[in-house]
Amino acid sequence: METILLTEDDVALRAQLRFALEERYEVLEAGDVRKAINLLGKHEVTLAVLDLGLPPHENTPDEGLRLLHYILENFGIKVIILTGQKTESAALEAIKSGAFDYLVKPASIEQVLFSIDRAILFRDTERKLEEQGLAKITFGIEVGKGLQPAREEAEKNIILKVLKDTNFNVYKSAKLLGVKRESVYYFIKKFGFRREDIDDNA
Amino acid sequence: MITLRLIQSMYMLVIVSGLMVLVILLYLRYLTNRAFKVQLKMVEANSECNYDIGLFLPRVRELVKKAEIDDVFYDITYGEKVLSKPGPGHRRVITRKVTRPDYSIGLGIVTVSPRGYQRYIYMIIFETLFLLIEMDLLMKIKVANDALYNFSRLQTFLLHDVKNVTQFIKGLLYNIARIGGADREHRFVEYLRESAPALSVRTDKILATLEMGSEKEGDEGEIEKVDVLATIRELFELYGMNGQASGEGSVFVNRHKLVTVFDNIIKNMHEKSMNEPELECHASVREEGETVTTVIYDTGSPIKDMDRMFEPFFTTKKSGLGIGLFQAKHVVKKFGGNMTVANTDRGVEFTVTLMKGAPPAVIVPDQTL
Repeated sequence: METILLTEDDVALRAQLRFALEERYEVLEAGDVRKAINLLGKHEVTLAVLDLGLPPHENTPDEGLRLLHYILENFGIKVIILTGQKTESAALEAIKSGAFDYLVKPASIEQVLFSIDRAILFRDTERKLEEQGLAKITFGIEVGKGLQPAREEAEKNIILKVLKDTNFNVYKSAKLLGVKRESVYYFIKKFGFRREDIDDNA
Repeated sequence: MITLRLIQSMYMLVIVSGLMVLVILLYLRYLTNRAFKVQLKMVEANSECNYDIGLFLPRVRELVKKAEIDDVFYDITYGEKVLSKPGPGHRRVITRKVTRPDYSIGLGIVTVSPRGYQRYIYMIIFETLFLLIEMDLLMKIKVANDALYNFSRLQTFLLHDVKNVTQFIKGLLYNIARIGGADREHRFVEYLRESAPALSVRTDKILATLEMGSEKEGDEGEIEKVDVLATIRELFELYGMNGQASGEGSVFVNRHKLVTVFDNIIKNMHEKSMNEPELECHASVREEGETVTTVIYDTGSPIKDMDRMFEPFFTTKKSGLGIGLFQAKHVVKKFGGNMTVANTDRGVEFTVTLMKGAPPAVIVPDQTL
């Protein structure tokens, strides 16, 4: 059964969301960032539904975005934002950071469930593709700046992913990438990759 | 003889010259006094017009006439408003135009004789008038900007709560239609029971915010006996505060309003505890004669801007609205009580003193009919 972390500061709303979700999923509840981080450390969470306006700053998306970054950097799970923060900048920041979906309150429960189903489907498909050696790598780039920065960013992300997957084994990485070991060393130096950074993020 | 005659004629000349200087000095004094009087009248008129240039400018013409200024013309723009009175195309004018991002002022006066000392008098009056107009405009723009800013903050604050309530209702409607078996039904009721206090506090807060400043005298809403200690304990539980509440005391007030008062205090402490996880929050309630005094204190860091704590729209939080404590004090005062805050040795301490009050009069139906 999927375990969903539901982070929402409104107790009444959280209870209704929980009731709607708990028939199909195991639901963990948090009312603030601290509790959410605590639960993430103790349980195997597979997906998160997250409000951005969390205490002590309920009227800004800062706390929610902070938690979003933490989840994506440390757990790499799909995160669905369900928030009253309708500002374009908050949505942009969340999507840019890697949130799977951005739902604006009041959203229908069907919408929330549909988004969760899609997130699970995407995650499972990505896993299958990874098993086949096809990894989905996302990166942000300004289209107007031409091909060179996009190429470099793609290169950087692919090499970083392979290094992570091989636990920084240069020989295996070179084999997977189909390049010489010297080239892998060159990229490690060029992009400033360090084993400890990769280990920390893993 | 000739010398004597010369001295006699010089003597007369000195006397005449002295008299002339005296007359000139008196005339200058008259001109200066007249200018000062006109200045004073303009300042007074501006104040009487409540610093509204739309009302002030039509009165200026009559005032400056006393200082031999024939006319005043202007072209003032601020926001979407334009105030304009075209100039006469006269040669004897003093004019100035200033354009700033939020407004522009074009001002001119038509003088009778712009020469010599009189010109300085005109300039003094002109500068005063220009200053008054610019001050009125700046004041108007600042008040409008502040009001818009505070309105938008208030809207953000209310939107957050209203969106959550609406989302709650959407969830409720969805769940009601899908409750299923007895076990789910039981859990649904249990969740609703858990949610009720939070929902009640939230809706009370929305109402209190919307009603703030529009309450009518004598319209206190439904009066009932409220157990102060129980109210505080409920809020401690709602916010998951570490701490104890003790004592006893009840007051006859509007329950929703009283909940808003304590909610604003305890919520502040709860938010503070996010950055100070060791913070505890304690409360004591005691009855003294006709009053009930509640002391709520936290064990956290002191407040820096203590003097401004109850000032509307003042906040130390990045996302705060700054009306919570203002609203709390406002309600307590309406109850005929008092609310204070202080940094003490043990932490930040709020003291709320309320009159015990009396139960509302029961209307007995007339049995004679």
